[in-house]
Amino acid sequence: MSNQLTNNFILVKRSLIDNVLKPHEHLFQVIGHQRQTKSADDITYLRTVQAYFSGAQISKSARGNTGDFMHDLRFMIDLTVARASEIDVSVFDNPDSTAAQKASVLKYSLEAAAVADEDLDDLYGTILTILKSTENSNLGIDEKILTLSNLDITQFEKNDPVEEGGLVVVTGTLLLTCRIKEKVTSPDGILSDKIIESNIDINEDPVQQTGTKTDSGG
Amino acid sequence: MVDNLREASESALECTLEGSWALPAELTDPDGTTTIYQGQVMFSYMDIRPDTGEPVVIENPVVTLRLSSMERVPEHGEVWVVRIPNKPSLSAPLVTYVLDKSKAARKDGSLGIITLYLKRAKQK
Repeated sequence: MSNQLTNNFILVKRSLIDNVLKPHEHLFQVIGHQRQTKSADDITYLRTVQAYFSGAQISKSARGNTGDFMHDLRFMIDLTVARASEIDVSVFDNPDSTAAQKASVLKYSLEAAAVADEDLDDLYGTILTILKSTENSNLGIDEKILTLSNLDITQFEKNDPVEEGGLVVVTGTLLLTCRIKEKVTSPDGILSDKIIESNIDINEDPVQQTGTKTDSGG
Repeated sequence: MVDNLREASESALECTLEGSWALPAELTDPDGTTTIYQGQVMFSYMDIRPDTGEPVVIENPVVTLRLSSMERVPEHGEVWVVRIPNKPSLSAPLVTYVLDKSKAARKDGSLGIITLYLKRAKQK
């Protein structure tokens, strides 16, 4: 029977997605895996949040491969918004609109990139508020089960706007770090799978005299 | 008799670009003046994704018009509204787009055409 790892980092990942982000799906769509190419149409007027486990640092255990060790986890939360230009379309649909009315609408139109950029800022603020709220201080995990230490939002990076068809897509990535304790357990009283036993049987070596068996029997 | 092939090809745009294959494109300039032109509408085009390098079909219309038919030609940075049918049919409802400010309209002086890149517009 092999040793078992507690895999607490999976518990943390699931909790981040299911307990912290998914209850707010009326504000954005949650996707629980790593970044992939998306069609802009899929994210039209929809904010997408992708949360995933992106890496870890494992501190050395005093007891080699068994026992507890500290697991420093990194989670990425990708934020994506796609927006069209905003303009009072109804003025152009109305055949009675005057040139002055149309000119006024054109003057105050909003570029898609500006609308998307502003919306991403707003989404970042929303996510930050959720993550910093008291009930999510342990990412929604019962502290009797697992305590997260050094839980921190360490970084937020925005990327350049990208054209996707007739829309502009802006993305940003938020880095969340925390430290947990993992355990490697082995069942008591059960022997390891295999013990290697071998007899030392070195053949006679009259040159190097490494063997134990000689003519003299020494 | 044809004196100049370039003039002949520009003259032929009346048939090739503005003829039976054409669709109406309603352009409104920054002063609010609306003019309806006949031109070609390409509803999607091939492009290369900058992040992956793969070819993709972009579902976004591109409008090509004859320069000599236009009363005013869009300049880079100007806000214009372009309304075109939502499918290749004269009776199809018009959809509102704005000129893509990140891409200059491509004027082809050799042939006398202009290609307009559009961005979707949403009700403000």
